[in-house]
Amino acid sequence: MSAGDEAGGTPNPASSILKLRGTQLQQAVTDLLVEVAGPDALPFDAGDTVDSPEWAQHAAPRYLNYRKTSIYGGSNEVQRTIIASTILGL
Amino acid sequence: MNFDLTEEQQLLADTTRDLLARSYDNTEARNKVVDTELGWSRDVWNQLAEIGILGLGFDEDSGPTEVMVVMTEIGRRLAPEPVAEAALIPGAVIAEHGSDAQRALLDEVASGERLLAFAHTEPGRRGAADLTTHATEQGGAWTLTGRKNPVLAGDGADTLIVSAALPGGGSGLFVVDAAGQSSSGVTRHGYRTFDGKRGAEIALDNAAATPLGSGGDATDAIEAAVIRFQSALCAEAVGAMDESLRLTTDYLKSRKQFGVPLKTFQTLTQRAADMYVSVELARSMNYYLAVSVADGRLDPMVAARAKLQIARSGKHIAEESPGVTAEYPIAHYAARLTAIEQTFGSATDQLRYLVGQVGSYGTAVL
Repeated sequence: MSAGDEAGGTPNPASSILKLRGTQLQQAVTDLLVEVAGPDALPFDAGDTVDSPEWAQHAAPRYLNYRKTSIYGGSNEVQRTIIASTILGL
Repeated sequence: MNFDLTEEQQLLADTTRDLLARSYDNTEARNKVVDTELGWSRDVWNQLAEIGILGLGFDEDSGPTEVMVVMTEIGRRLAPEPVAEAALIPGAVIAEHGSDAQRALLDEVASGERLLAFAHTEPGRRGAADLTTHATEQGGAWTLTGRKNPVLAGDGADTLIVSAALPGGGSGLFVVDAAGQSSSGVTRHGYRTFDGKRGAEIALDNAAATPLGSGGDATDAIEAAVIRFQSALCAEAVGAMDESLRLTTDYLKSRKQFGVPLKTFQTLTQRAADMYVSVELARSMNYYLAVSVADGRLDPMVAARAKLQIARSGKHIAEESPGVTAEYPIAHYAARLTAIEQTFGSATDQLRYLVGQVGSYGTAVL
């Protein structure tokens, strides 16, 4: 889906909706994985010598890494301002 | 109710804060130590021992309030030394329940020479599940078989306090030599945790063990040890949150975007105000738990309520603080707060426990 560029070169405000909800979903999903892993999320890169499965060992670093998504590419606060002004005319 | 610290407790807080600030005056200094094989500093450890930090709560001169005060400073500076994990918490278990010979080990713990670890959590099990590690007795000699993971500070521990199912039912606590000549049957795989601390998976295969104190069912002692651990983690989290909020407000004042400081944007200052509320709620619940423990009331309901709020506030602070890349100090505080939530039960785990206790409340009449 290409919501970013319309023929006239004006950004389609739908891209702001995608950015906002997309990053919120990414953050919710990576957060959920940490919750599912629980104490097995603590070991990092310990390999298969420990019982904590590999996905669990990567859950917390991924969750922390994905915190940036609501900031880069125009922070979600900026996206809300675009939605407020472009779509709602505020 | 008066929550003010005594003069001595305030002095302890200031001394700990100064000591850690000297060693870890910036995040790079701390990260450099975290990246060593040990993961923390022997030099800092010895300094902590010298001023009596590593023996807090082992005798009647100090107790849970002093532990709380110190742990908050550890959290504020994000010090990697395993003060609670390798000394204060397993030490308190030995002090309370150990035999005279076992209590004699505490002098070496307080002086920094002997490292302990509390090996209780088992792979893939959460909450108060039955232990799979089991104890066997033959001719008066005990052995343990099973696996423990994660064992915080288990990588370098000389002596382990291990929980295990007893042959006749119930759970016992045992002292296991992890490093000396009698440590055959103890295999450990040490690792780094995602927040830069250290832990291990410990496999016990007919490992020689001595019952803690007079032995027998120690279900209450295990529960008490977990509550003490929770209280230490809550205190550490409050220190980490305090510092995160301080870094956040500094950032909002100094960082400029669109030609003006970030604090110009109301959407950010309102969120900073919400963060402040979160930290204060966490602080109150931390006091509530620490004061309960200090009063000798080791109540799992109080611990669950406190940990629930600390976990919720910690997540809020970790997610709202700006500067999420590893180059900024705040990212490391966020990692530590996330790890604290997942140690001995997340917010969801606490809720699950508390929901199970709802029936024990009186019926509300509206």
